[in-house]
Amino acid sequence: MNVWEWWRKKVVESSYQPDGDVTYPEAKGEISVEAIEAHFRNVDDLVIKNIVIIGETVTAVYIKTMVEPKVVQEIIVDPLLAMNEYDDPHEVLKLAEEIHHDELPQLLQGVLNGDMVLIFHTRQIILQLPTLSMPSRSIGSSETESTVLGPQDSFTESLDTTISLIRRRLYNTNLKVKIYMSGTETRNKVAVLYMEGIANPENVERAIYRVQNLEYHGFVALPVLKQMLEDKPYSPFPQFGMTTRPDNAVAALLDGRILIALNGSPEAAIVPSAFFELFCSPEDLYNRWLNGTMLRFIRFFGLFVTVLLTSTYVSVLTYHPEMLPPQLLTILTESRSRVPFPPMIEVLIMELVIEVLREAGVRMPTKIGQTIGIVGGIVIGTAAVEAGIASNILIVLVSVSALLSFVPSNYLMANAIRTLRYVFIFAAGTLGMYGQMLTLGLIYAHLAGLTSLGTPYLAPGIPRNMTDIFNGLIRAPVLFLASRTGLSRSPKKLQRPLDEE
Amino acid sequence: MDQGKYKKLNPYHVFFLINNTMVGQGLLSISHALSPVGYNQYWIPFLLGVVTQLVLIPMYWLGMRYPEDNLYVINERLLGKWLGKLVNLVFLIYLIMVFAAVTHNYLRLVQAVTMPDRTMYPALIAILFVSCYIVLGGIKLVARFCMLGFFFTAWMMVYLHWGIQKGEFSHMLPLFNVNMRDVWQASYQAYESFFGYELLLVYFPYIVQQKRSLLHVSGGLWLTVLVYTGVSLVSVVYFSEWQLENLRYPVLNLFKAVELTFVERIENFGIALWVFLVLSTAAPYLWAAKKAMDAVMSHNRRIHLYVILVCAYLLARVQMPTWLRQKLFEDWSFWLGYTMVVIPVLLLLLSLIRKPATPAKEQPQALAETDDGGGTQG
Repeated sequence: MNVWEWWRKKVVESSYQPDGDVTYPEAKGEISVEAIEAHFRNVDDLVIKNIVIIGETVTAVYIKTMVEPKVVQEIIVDPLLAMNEYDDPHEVLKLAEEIHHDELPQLLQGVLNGDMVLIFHTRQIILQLPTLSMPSRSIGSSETESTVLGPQDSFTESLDTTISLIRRRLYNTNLKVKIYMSGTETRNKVAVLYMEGIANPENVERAIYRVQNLEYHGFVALPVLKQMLEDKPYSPFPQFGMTTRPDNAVAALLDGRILIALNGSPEAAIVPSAFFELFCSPEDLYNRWLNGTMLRFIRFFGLFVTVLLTSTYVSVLTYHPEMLPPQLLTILTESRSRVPFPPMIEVLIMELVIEVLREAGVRMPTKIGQTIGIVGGIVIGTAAVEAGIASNILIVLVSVSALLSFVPSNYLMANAIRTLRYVFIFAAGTLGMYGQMLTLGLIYAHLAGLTSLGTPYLAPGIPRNMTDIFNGLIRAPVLFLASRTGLSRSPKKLQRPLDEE
Repeated sequence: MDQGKYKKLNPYHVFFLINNTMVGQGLLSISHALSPVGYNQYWIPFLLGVVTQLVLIPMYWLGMRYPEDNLYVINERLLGKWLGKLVNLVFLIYLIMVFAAVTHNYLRLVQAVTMPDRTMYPALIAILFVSCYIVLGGIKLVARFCMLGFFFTAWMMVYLHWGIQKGEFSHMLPLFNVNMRDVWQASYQAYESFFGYELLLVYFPYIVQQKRSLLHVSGGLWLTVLVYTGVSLVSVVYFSEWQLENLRYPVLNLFKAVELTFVERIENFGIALWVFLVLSTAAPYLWAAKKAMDAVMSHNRRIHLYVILVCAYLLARVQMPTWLRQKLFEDWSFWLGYTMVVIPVLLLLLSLIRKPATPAKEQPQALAETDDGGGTQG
């Protein structure tokens, strides 16, 4: 029997729990103040308040950490105070929605979402009012995907802000927003956004199917959700794009992709995505075509350089020193003359130092982080050379490859490459240049087998449409950019008419 | 590995599969194999290309008569269960031998050029692992790898220009100093470089546009002929006749002619990059061998692949006299290769005799473009 299947079966068996205690909003239950109190036992921020309005007792139920007093005053108290005896509460509270007396789970869900519930005891009416008003982070510029040109706003943790930022750029009824509940415990909201008529219906169906079939106790951030939606969970490469920029998101929607956003996480996943796209930035399109092309070349070939640079140092010095021209060989031997380690150990030490510096720089408070970066980079580098731990050529190579690994616009991709570099260094240390190329072949085979929502991940390297060349490695002039990418399999192939109609 | 008869190979996949399965095996030694005719060798690839083209037609015909079945199934259908299985077993042995020979020859070269003082078993295990990984992705991944293998290595043709610069063009003059015997000898030796297309009938059922596939296959073949002609032309220009006869890997020496300012001994890099060509030759053979073993055992099991890999490892590593290894890897696999080329012709004749052509069925062709996930299913 297959060991993996056996193991998997064991995991599934041991982790199976029936979800008996989950109640969905569609379920039924009789509403009474006691029932609400029973459900919210030990919830101290719940407010159940009886107000007397023109001789009638009205019970207001809300959570005070999700509703600001000013809003309560404006939306509910003021209109109610102005109400006459014979007025219908529906007329007075225009935003209210009525709940039937047997819809307790819906009421509970509403209260948890920041709504206020009013129970009119004499008139036997239950109303639910949208009062959600929480302080949230204001819209700022993107930290991870900053550009010089173009829009500078970015998504925030609130799903409503995220969707509104997209709606601010897409005034179209074809923009569909489907909101699902996710997480058996958190019951958070996941939104699936797509353009009807542009997105491939099959893709939309697949994405929605995957989102609906997730069973997990709760997603704290989109990257976790994304990993569970991806096609190949064992791969080191991110198979879906991820962006915090609304312009990126809108461009993806217009190309026929689907966005998946999670409430509480400032990112949106772009599905399906291609490997090449994770190296592109929206700025390529803001630049003139030639400059954009050059930047794309640098980013994409930076990938090869960053995995091959330090590992070539290892393989050349260990196995093929005859490849170096005499001058370079002289420089290298001079600077390596005091180094007591074999090249592989030397490279591993310096690469790990850079990793540690990088990680420390991220975790430390911002102000100290910068200082440590400078101190670490310059002082450790110089000291390592002087102490004879590493050659100064290696310091140059390591810093160049560290810089290059930041170049992909997708942070997850940058991390994947960062890890792959060690595989290459080990392969170079054991098998020389042959090992490096074999690893490159292995990685290509892996990438060529990957799919993103069922479409090949290496597209347009794996041909989809002939027109994909114009917006692949080469960013052609805008006149050529008339077709949607083959990857999104859009039913509308063209973005604009080709001839002058 | 795919169980169903699901069409998945697009025209460009077929093109590169054919081309790379041939080139990876033969390019390194083509000018050496052609050496019996000395300086007149550069038109022999063209001759062999014509021969191959002629052999491809019956193969295509046979494939079109059984569009849903691969070569092994056709064998069993036409030759009967036991004889068919026996022929499949012979094919299996041949495919394993070619797979082992391709990897072993390449590794010997790597060892000779780049790391003379190292034992090669880690390198062998590594290359077996990678080819196993490719084959686990199905024939489509194999084809995709062939595409990459081509584009990663095709630019190395630029390096030939040093050979041309330093060469002597008068070598190319036709002096009519060959006899038929030498031509026959050279063609016989060099035809090994054209092996690889015999796998066509194994992946024929997976081709999307089966009707037009002869065109794509021929395209791949003539690209190969072009590459071979180019390399043997440059070899003729650059080498002396003695060198052609005695250099086992003339391409390697052509690399040595390259002069770059920033790096010396570029052949280290060239040989390392050659792994893409070797993998794109070895992987189709491994895939075909796995299919052959499935046919022999009448079951689709992944363990067959591992058994084949172990056999190949043993073939390459077990201590045996050099003459035996030479016989195995060069003579026997050579003859068996000819068998595998000839058998489709016999099968075609047999099928023509046994029963009239079956009415052509309608092929569902629209599916293959949409879902590529199927290629990687276990």
